[in-house]
Amino acid sequence: MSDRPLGRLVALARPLWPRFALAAVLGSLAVGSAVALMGTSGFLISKASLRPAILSLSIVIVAVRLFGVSRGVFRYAERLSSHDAALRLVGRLRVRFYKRLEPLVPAGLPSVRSGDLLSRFVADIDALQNLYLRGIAPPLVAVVVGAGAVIAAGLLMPQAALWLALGLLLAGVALPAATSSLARAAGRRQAGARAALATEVVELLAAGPELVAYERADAQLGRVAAADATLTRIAGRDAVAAGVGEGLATLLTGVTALAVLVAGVHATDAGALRGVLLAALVLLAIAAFEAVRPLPEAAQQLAATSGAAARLFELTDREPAVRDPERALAPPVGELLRLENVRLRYAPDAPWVLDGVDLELRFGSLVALLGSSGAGKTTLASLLVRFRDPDEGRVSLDGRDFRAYAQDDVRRVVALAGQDAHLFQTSIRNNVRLAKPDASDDEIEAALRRSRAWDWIASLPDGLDTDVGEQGALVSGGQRQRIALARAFLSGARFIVLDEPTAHLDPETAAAIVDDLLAAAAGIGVLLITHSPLRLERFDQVLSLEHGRIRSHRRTAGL
Amino acid sequence: MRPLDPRLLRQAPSARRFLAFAAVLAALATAATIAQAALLAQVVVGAFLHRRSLGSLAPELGALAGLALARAAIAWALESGGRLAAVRVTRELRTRVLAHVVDARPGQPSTGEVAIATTEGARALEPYFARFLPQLLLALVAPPAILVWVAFHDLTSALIMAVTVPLIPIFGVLVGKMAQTRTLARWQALQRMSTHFLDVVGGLTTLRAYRRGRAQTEMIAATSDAYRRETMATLRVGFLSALVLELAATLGTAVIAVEIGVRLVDGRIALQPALAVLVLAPELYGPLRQLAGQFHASTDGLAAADQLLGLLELEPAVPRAHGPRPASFGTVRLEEVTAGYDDRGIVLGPVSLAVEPGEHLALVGASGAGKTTLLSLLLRFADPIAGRITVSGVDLRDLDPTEWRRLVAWLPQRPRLEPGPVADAIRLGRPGADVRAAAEAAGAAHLLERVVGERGEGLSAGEVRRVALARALARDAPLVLLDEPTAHLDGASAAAVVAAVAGLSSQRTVVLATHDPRLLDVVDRVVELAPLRFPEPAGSAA
Repeated sequence: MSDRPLGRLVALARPLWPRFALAAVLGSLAVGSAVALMGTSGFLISKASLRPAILSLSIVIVAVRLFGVSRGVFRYAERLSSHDAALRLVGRLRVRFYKRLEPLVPAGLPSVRSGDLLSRFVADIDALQNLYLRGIAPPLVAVVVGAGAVIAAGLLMPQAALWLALGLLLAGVALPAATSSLARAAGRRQAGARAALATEVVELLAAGPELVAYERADAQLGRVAAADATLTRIAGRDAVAAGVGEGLATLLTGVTALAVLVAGVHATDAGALRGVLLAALVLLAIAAFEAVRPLPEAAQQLAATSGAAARLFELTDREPAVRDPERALAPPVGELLRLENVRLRYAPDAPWVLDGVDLELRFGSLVALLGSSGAGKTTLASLLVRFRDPDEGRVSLDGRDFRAYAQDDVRRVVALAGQDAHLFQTSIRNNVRLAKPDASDDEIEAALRRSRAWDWIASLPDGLDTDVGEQGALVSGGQRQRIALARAFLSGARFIVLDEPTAHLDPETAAAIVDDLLAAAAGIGVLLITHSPLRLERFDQVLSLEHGRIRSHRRTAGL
Repeated sequence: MRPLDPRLLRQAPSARRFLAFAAVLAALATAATIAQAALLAQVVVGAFLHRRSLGSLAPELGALAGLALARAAIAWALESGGRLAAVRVTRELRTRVLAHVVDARPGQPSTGEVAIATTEGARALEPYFARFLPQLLLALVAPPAILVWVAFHDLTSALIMAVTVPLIPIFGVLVGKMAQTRTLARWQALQRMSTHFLDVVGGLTTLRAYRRGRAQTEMIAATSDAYRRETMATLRVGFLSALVLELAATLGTAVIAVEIGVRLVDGRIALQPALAVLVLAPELYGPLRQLAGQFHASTDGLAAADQLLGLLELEPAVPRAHGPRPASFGTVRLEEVTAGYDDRGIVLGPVSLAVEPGEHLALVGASGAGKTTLLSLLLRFADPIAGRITVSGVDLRDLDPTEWRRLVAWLPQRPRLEPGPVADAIRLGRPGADVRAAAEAAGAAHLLERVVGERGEGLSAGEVRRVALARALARDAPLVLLDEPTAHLDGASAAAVVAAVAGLSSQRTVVLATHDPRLLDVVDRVVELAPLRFPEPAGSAA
């Protein structure tokens, strides 16, 4: 976990500090108006009860009316300025964290479940929107208004101000600290029970048809009920405790008002306080608590935001797996791509995933690489576009080490279409054009014809403008691969590395994809990485990856 | 939007009980508030005008202390009671929804959706019950009660209140209606932006492979900024509703204070009631104003409840009416059968097919041709939307689904085993079955001593498949349905399963769905299901 994640976030927000300050001032004026309204009103009617000339009250009357209007106006201005600042903050952080994440993908990220990791990354950044609005602004306002109310009370009667300060401190500092630690403890206690319940629910639903078919649904529903009973017992106890915070907040308001009242009555009795000020003093004290009311929630909000920020920093503080050289070589032409005695493993004490791999891919040749799942095929593919570097040996392009080129120059020459080739939620045109932003529609059409997707696209009512849907959901698996292939063709790369383009496809579609690839591959170097042996006879060379080494099966005379 | 879903009260008794409990507490809280204001005024006036000493005011001060305690206790009871009610309501709804969904729609709707609605989604009920509902009741009880009390003590102030208080809900509704569509647009914009960002982040590998990773930075900055400007434009209007609420509340208080002040100077009102009215004024506007602040607690809570209640109202896929037990098992006949789902249209058919008793039949066809759907029709997880299925001439729909399923043994595509000894998992097929014989037939005899962990841990995928096959065979049912029994198995496991299928007795009718050519050699007949429209159902984009 990163140290002081909230501190780092606030530091990142430095250019926005003036906006935050403005919003805090407006917020303080809004809450302060409410406090002042009650104080001046109390003074007004006390004074009026002494039946002075009405003119002597005119200033107080104006003040009361002013505060009656100013609260709403200040609140409106505060909301606009604080939301604007919060949105600017999130926008800024989104860019900042994206910049740090970009070079980490894919090899610099931990673990294999990077899909979960990335969606949490996005959700965590969205959660930072609350940092200022609900986390930072309420304490700032509470400090300003609380101090103002105590000073105002002190001017009337110092001893009452002490009671007010004590009550505000308890309600604004001690209580939020206590309730948020109570909530955290409850969260921890409930987490296990919630997870157990979720597991049983998922089991029930995922195995639902099977449970019904074998008349076991009641047994699993019983397990859900048992998990639910455990959670209900724990959550019930926590509910009773959670209400204590609300009760104490109410109690502190009442008791503080009472203490101020007693002190005030005593002082009036002793002649130390003018009786006409007593009502103002008490009403001011009661109203001041409005400033500290949101603080327990703010404390919990800060804790939640801090967790999100810590995860973000933990992720983006990582070192990228590859870096550009200080002075890069001129961009390569792309005649020969080689792995030379490459060894690679994921941790210093882990077994070698690639253990002395030699591989040659010449411009214009077709090579198939077979291997069962987990053999390190995808790792090998990521070496060929320099998403990662080997631990030993080297990857070379035209005889020079990959590490001597700029990453983008390597990727201009070598295109990768992985099994997870992503379709973005936009038109087919934009998805293909990604590989060459200035491509014309004719070029896009040519690339799609080459991957044999054009007839299908031409038959769609919207043609190239057809939206592929969320994560390409509206496109079948086969067409998704053809679009990815067209992208690789359009990029103009000299080498194309295809990582399992036929995974998740039925055999007929898979064979069709390989046929189309072979038909279109003239004049480029292709490395097809796959676990299913399809049309192997048409490749120049067939290799397999076993136990971290390459085995050659056939080498045709064509090379 | 309605603040309370009547279905919630019907379906969850705990919700009804809490509502009554909270109404009583809201009334008590209002009474305490009024009493506190009156006592406070009495003490202040006593000290200020009547020069009463601290000692002589002790009874009133003591009563004030008691009221402070009472209000604290009520606040505690409302918050705790609300959370407790949320926990109980969630449990009641969850139990009903899960039982209903599993029984009514096996495999439908999507697992993830129901899982999230019944676990994480249901947590939105907590702030709804703990915050919004008590506030709602307080907003209903406190303003009229305070108004009546004030009317007895100062009619003029009561009139001011009576005019200004309704402004809050009226303007709230008026401006709120206008703001609501804009708020909705704002949430959709937020959704769009988050989805865009998620899309970019999820596709980063692809973007980097094509050197477009860094170029997205400006795109993200631009999208965020456009979203901010769009949002602020809607908020400028949206926050007007809050402005009106605040103005009505504080201006109302200010007008009352000035009005009372002027009449005090004229001697038309005494200080004590005047002060009490002034203390009560914010308490009159407060609950309504705070109710507006609980907007999200209410919409989120109602959305969560709506989702659960919606699941509870799902029409069962198969009518629950209890038909007779199947009299006998014979020829299974599909007559022009069409199957489909509400959200995906037609996925199978029309298909006509007759399976004779003892026949072993393989269904083949590309993915999406409807093989699994056909099996689920035979299991009565769904009924055909057109055509009919008969057994010995009796329409399947006329039979009790549970009784019918007792005649069917099924091996799903991804079988799940209950945790425990393997022998127990097999015995679930039918209590008292010959476990060893079934295990031997399925090539799983050597697994009998093993134990299944949570989610099938401890066994390989091939072993799970064989144990599940043994479970199906132990069922001793006349109809055996096997869905892709060799998919994703290594050579040796697949061969064992093929051998087991080949060895199935001709006493049983077998229908299996497969891509595997090895299985086609061991069945009596192969039927190809034609894909519905195109091999690539991409036309669904429309």
